[in-house]
Amino acid sequence: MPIAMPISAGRTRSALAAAALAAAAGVAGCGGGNPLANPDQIQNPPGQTGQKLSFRYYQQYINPIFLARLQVNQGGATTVATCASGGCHETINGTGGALRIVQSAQPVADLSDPVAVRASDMYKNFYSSEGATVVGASAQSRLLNKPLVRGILHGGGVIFDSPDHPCAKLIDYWISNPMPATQDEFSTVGDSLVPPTAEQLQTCHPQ
Amino acid sequence: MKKLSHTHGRTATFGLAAMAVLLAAGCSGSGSGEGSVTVAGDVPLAYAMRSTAMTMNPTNGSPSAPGGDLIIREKSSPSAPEHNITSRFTRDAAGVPNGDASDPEVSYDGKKLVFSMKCPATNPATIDGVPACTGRWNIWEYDMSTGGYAAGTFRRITASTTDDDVDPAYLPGGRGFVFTSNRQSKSKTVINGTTYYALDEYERERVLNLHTMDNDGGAITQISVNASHDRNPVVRPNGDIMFSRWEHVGMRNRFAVFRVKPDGTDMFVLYGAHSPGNSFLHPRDMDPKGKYAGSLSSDLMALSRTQEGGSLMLIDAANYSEQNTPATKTVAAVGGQVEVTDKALNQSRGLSQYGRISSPYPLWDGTDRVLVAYRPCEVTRNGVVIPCANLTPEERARLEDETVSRAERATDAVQDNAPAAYAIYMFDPAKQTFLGVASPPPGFMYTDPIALQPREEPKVKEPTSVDATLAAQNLGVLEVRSVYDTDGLQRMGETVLAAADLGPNCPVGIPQTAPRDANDTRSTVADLARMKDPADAAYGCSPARFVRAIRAVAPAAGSTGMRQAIGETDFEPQQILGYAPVQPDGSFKLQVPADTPLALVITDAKGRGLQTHLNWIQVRPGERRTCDGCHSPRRGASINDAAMADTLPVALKASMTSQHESGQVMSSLAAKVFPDTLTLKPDLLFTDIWADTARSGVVAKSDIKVKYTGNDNPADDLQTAAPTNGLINYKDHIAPIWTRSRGTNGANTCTNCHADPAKLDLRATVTGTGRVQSYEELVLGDPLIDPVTGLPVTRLDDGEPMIVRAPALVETDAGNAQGLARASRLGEILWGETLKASAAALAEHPGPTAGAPNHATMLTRAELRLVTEWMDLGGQYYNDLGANGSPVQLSTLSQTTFETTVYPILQANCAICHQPTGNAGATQTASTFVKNRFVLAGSVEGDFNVTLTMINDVCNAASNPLLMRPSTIPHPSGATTQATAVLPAGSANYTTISNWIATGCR
Repeated sequence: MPIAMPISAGRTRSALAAAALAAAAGVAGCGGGNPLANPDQIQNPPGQTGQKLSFRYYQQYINPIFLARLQVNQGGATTVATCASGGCHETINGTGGALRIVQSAQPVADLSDPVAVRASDMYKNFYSSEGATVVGASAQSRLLNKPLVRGILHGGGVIFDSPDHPCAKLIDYWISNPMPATQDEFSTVGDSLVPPTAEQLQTCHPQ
Repeated sequence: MKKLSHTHGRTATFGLAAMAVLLAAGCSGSGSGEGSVTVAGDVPLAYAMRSTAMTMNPTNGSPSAPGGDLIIREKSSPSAPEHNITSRFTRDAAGVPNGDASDPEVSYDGKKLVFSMKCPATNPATIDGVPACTGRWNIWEYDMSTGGYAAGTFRRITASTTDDDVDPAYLPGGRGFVFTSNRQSKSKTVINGTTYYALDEYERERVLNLHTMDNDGGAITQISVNASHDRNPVVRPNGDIMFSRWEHVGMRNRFAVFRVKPDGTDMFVLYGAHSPGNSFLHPRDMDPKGKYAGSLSSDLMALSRTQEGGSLMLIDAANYSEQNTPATKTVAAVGGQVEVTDKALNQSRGLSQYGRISSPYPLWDGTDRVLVAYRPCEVTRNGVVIPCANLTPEERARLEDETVSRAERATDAVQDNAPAAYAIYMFDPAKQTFLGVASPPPGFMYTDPIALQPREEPKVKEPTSVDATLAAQNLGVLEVRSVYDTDGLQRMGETVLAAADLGPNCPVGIPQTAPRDANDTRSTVADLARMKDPADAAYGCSPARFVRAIRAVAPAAGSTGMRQAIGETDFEPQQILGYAPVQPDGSFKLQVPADTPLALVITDAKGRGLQTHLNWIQVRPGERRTCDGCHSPRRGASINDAAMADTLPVALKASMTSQHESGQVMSSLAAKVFPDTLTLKPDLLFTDIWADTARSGVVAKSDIKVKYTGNDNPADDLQTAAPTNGLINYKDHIAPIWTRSRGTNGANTCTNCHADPAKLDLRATVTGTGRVQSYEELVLGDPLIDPVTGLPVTRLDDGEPMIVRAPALVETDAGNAQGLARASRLGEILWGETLKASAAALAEHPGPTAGAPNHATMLTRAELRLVTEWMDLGGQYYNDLGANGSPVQLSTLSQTTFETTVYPILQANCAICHQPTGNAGATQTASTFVKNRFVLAGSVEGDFNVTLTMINDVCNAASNPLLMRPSTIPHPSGATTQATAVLPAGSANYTTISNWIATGCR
């Protein structure tokens, strides 16, 4: 099984072979260090996992955008687009590639149990949405670039006509303000993010 | 970066023009310390020291030669100390250098190196009492955290004794590693305890595909399933994996830049599928905070004979999907890739006056510099290496003269065969300066430089949400919003159609309109609003009617007889998985097998492919993938966007439109109403579910039902054997069609008339190739004869005289990815239509003579379908290599004996001709693809496997193409004045090979 193991001296190695090895290494400019004297276990702790976006903010302000009936103008044709519609990003029958939204997902009130939250439909929506982002880099995130058709293709066409669209700005803000590196997606820091403006609420969360 | 200073009067920076002279004259010394050359902005670096005896081609996934090691240099200065950190492992028991090392990559904190090493099993180092070295390539890590550059500690991460793991890179977030490997966790098959490894599409090497593993080497997962190699993976700043993919389906043969998520989802081309040049290798992101942020560096080269050296390219992948293919109108129309050096380097074979660059590594330290492996232009004169600058004009002209035959060239005192002595340089694109960093000792090259610097860790990409139900069935979903959403190549545009394809009242094949998206770069796009409206005449102008899903059937490593079995085609075996209808708006939605190399062919109403899918796509288990179209521009809005999808003509059935949901294209709606449409069907079946014929003037499209057997009219059925499981074998399924009795008392049987070898012989007699006569007649054109001399017409093909053949009746090599049946005269004759066969083919095969029976009515519908499918797949002799009668057998011949006895003979006598040759993405014409299929690329494993393909009968060595062809005059085919065979029967080399073959006869 390929696992990290200590490397130890070959017991049958002869002094002559060792000398030959050393000579060969010297010729090739071998540096110091003896790998045969490695400690029994080498510590290679994993690095930091990536930062997370705020689940709190998502379920309150971002998920509703996906359910909203947004008036869009596509090349002169006006239509009503709903990201989570059955023809688009709805989780079962949608046509929207990797971004999948459970329409019936309900906000999770109690965030104290991460295991339970992660089993919820709202978390599935969050997970799928976050997967379409580059955390902290909204300009590189498909979740924003797709509906803007900004240097990328989008099957659903143009949804937000400019980065200044209130919903685009809301998504931009969410992506651009990840939780601290040492905290998870349920961090209370998410509560301190700036809530949407009245205009954003009116445009992005129409009833 | 501070200004360079130097001492001892030694010039340390060069432009390319100066380097062409100075380097070759020995101005770049070894790094043994000739005084103090101090360069501000120096960085520590690592690189591979490898033998110049090694053959490096893009097609060689894990090349090696004894003598390789991994080197660390403390600074990017010729005078800096250099440490060979792997020599203790790469020596065998006698202390002789007998291993190799390659592909270093630094951790994001700059403290560790992961690399691949192939160390001899006799090396005395052990791990828990077991030898540390296995003789195969494994992934190792060197930790400098506590020991520094010279005294770090080692960790072996993979420990394969049977596979090769190379090209590792760190995944961010401590998630482990991505690497490429021929272990084929998913691609290999195990039958009755025997493991069958998939070979690449040259039938040479076990395919190397991308794998990931955790930090300790566990959870090894294959994430790509290409049918040829995926190489050079790195992680982009956004967390995607970027790599070079060998696309080698049929006539397509090149490397493009791809991307994929670390879980293997969302695999897609990033750049270079249709751009000038052949092979983009070693792609990396330029500094994301630098002047070239968003751009990639890559080397660009030919498929062979450049030792993986070419030009240094800068690719604006952020704004262009291909050369001169901007993302939007706001980007300049011209652009995409640019050669970075002020002097052009040769991207093809042959001399490169200003040298060649390999394995570029952009620094992310704000200087925008690039570490490169560079070698100057050198040749040999009378066996002595000289710089190209020392060539006389006459000598240079001779070397660059492509009309010189290889035989003539072999006698020249000047040869383009100097060792590829790459050295390491620091290149500054802004200043166009090359700073010498490290030069190898004689007999070695330095490649794969990396800077031992911390760099910003890429983002962590979490796995994609997948459909658990589909995943459990090992299925995924593929959707295309409209096949008519096509790019400038027009792969699903008017250019793939013929006048015969136009429906009634269809002035053009695909109605056009202006794009609605203001940023769309096309002047017109398909008019989907009309094409989906049953009340509009354009409803009948939808030439795309079915999608045929096929999968690659990989040849197994170690098998003999493969070339005879596969036949005279560049395509490897394929299996038809089934069909599904394309909806009027051009959409389709399918469930397909996961982790399988797939291709999708759009056909017309008669099941004839409109184009050939020349690369492999994949879905991971449970993945749901959506494409805008077939060769859509890969940027911008879909033409079947939400507004178009929501446009529901009144002439559509209310039973359908009443269930429409916002944004739903027609295939998605069809799948909602009729879930069974998601499943591929074995036959061509279509019923119009859309047109509301109760409305005045609305006419539904005609039903289509074409089955092998069980058609409504039994006369439409096959009367001969039908393929099973979508695997068509010419001998079993096509040849009997020509010989079966037709007409009254067999009066119209094909072979009644077509039994003349001088014209067309469709009989099933077995020829010298072991294949039936009709196959050879259909797929091989007749030699052209010079009317004056009466001799075959020849041309120099890569320096070798080859016989020129007229077009065959069956096209296996159509340019611009055209559907092969539609491009074949056989198809046109049997269908009675003028489609897309070339003018030359039409002239060669003008059709039945006057008085002949109407050939368009001779075959049944099922027979027409089957012959069409066989042609579209590429004209293979066997697609099921394990079928009864197939000559393919697992070999018992020894690779070890091959390596010591046969390999040297092939390398010395055959390899110079039998080399890989590719094609540029920008100019795909059929004539450029026709090359031999016995390719010796210089790796023992690959050359062994491909040599086996030329052996059909180990008990009759002389009868095998491996011996028969080179011992027969002429070989090559056009060498009409050849007096002596390349490998005369009875010669020592011939006998050696013959004896090796005979060892398999037991």
